[in-house]
Amino acid sequence: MKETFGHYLETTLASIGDAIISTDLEARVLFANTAALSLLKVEASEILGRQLDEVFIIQNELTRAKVESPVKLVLREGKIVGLANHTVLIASDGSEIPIDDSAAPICAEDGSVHGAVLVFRDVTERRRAEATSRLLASIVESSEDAIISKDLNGIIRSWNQGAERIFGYSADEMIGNVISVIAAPDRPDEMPKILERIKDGERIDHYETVRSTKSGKLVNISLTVSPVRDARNRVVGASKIARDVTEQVRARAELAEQRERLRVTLSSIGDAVITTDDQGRVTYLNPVAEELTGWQTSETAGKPLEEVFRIVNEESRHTVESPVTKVLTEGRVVGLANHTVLIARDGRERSIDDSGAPIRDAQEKTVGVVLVFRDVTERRTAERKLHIQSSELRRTNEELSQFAYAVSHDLREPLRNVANFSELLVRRWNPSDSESRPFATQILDSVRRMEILLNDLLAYSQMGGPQEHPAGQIDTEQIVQRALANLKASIDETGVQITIDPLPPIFGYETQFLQVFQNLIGNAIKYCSERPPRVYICAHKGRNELTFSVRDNGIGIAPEYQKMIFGVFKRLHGKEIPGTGIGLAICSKVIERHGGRIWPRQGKRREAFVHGRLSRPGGSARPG
Amino acid sequence: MAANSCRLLVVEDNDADLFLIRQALDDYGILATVTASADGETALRLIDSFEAAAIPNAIILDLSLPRVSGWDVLRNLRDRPAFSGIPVMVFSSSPSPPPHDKHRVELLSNVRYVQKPIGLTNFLRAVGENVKAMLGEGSSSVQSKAP
Repeated sequence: MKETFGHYLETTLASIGDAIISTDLEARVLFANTAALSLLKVEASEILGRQLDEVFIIQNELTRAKVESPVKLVLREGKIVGLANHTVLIASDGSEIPIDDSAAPICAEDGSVHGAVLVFRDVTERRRAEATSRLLASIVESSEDAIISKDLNGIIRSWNQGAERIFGYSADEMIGNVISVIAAPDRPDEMPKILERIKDGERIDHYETVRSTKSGKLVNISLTVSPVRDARNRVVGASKIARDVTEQVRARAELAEQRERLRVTLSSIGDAVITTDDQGRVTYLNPVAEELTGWQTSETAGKPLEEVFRIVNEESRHTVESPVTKVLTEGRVVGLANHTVLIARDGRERSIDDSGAPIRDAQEKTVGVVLVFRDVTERRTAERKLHIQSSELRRTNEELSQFAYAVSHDLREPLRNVANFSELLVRRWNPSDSESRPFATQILDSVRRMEILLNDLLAYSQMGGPQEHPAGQIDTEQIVQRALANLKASIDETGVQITIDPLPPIFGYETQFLQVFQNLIGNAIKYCSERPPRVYICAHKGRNELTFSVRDNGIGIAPEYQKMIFGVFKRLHGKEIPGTGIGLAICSKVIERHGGRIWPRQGKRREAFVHGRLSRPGGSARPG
Repeated sequence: MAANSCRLLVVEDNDADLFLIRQALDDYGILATVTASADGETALRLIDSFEAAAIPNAIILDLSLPRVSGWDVLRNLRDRPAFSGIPVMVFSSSPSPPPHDKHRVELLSNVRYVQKPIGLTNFLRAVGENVKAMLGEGSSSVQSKAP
């Protein structure tokens, strides 16, 4: 019976999962079970009877120092000894196995020690699990995010450094405390609601909310809460990861505000604005654009611009190339061709004026086009009206000029006849009728005067007409010499002394300036009242203009008449000084047509000045 | 018809001027048979109908004429070989065309251009002297053609 029980015990020991080795008082191996033999990688015969130290070699895992077998200590002290941590067993083949062990004395009923029993086990798996859990713990600890776990009552079970950083409370303060400590004052219901959902096994992802910190400050957080389940899959708590998104929320709010500001700006500006993507598809219309095109932004999204923004040439009615295509291909700001008409959805047409510009991203890549345009119908209408008026005015002027030409030309014919036949009459006069002869002479005189008048009028009306030479550089001195040659008769007759300073060239119509100088010099000679008569012609070069002056030592022009002398048929003198009153009108017309001005001046010494102020050659002188 | 009488074609729509032209011929002792035409159309018809022996020795031509203008008459004359040696005097109240009016200037290249002068004496002198000069040219050309 005793034997049987002993065998039973041996069998039990042999089949236990832990490794067991027993020794006698001399620490010699008496027994080793299967688990022990397998860990040591030996046969029983190899170790039985040997000193434990020789077969059970253990080292400190970290220091690699040999560790004394606990059996020795047990035999010496007679009590149970646990093994130091981090012990590795060196197996017979040199492999290392982390173990966990303890030794106990084998005592008889009287308390005497007979030997020792060593119990040890392979802890490789446990170590690995421990390492993993340490790693996880350190990950949790070092995370930037707050990682908190709590039970279903909201009692905090773990609180990492991230949580401390974000909420200001330390783990010591919070573990065991209720999570509602960090609830935002204005959201009392939120946490219970979340907990309810967690209890139902739900998970909450990236939920943005606000929490209060230790200092009372509010932080924006993005929350992920997951249920924690036990081995039986029951929800026993919650783990939550909270990220401080205060910055992102602020940046997002700022961006939204900026967008809103831009949107409001675009909505409120007076010009129409359409934006497109890089394919020329409409992305936005501001209210003015909506009104002008007749489309709503909501209807146009993704439509090709050509469909919404239909433009044709005002005259040809041909479709005008979309400025957007041009902007996208050329990548620069493009103005629209003139005379473009926008056809709205309802067929209404408006003249528009517009430009397109590329929209570029931070990398300077064109990502779209912004088109800005405005309704210029009124302006175009006004322009057209103005154009019609000005051409009408031009036509009227031409007609007037033609009329003056016709009148002066056609009147000359009958007048010449009157003159010629009056003369013939005078020539063949009957000498006996002396009384009526002066009548014929009077007719002749009047006819001659009228003839001169008509000639001058003809010259005035023809100015700038088709017979004119083209405008060009004029040798002023040569023109003055030609004028003097034409005036030779009156120069000889009056014995006038004419002084001419050097005269710079001017730009304009030669025949017209010949007429100006001839008229001015002719007038000067006519009005020289003093003896000897003198005429002085000079030019003054200013910064931007040339001033010519023709001066005589005559009677001068009284201030009250200075304005009227340039009018047609205006004369200051009676028959004592011949003239038609057209000469200065011609001068005025010529100078004005050349962009200059002409004015008289009353000098102290009764000198009459007539200045023509003309732009320099190549300046703003307008051809007539 | 006198032996030294010449044939003159006068295209002039102004009766008064035609009268003065005749007066000038008289004053300057020019014996001439004057064929007068008051418009361009009649002038062209006359030019067509002249027998070779009756072609005028000189032509006085006004420019502003009813219907067919003096310019057209000039153009027509230029294309007729029979009239190539006949001197023409354009007698107009307008001044001669400016140099840049090339077309007209070209039409006037073999023609004397006389603007109707102001004053009776001047008028008569212009007609008298120019007609005399033209007849001189004409007779010399006739001589050179038929010695």
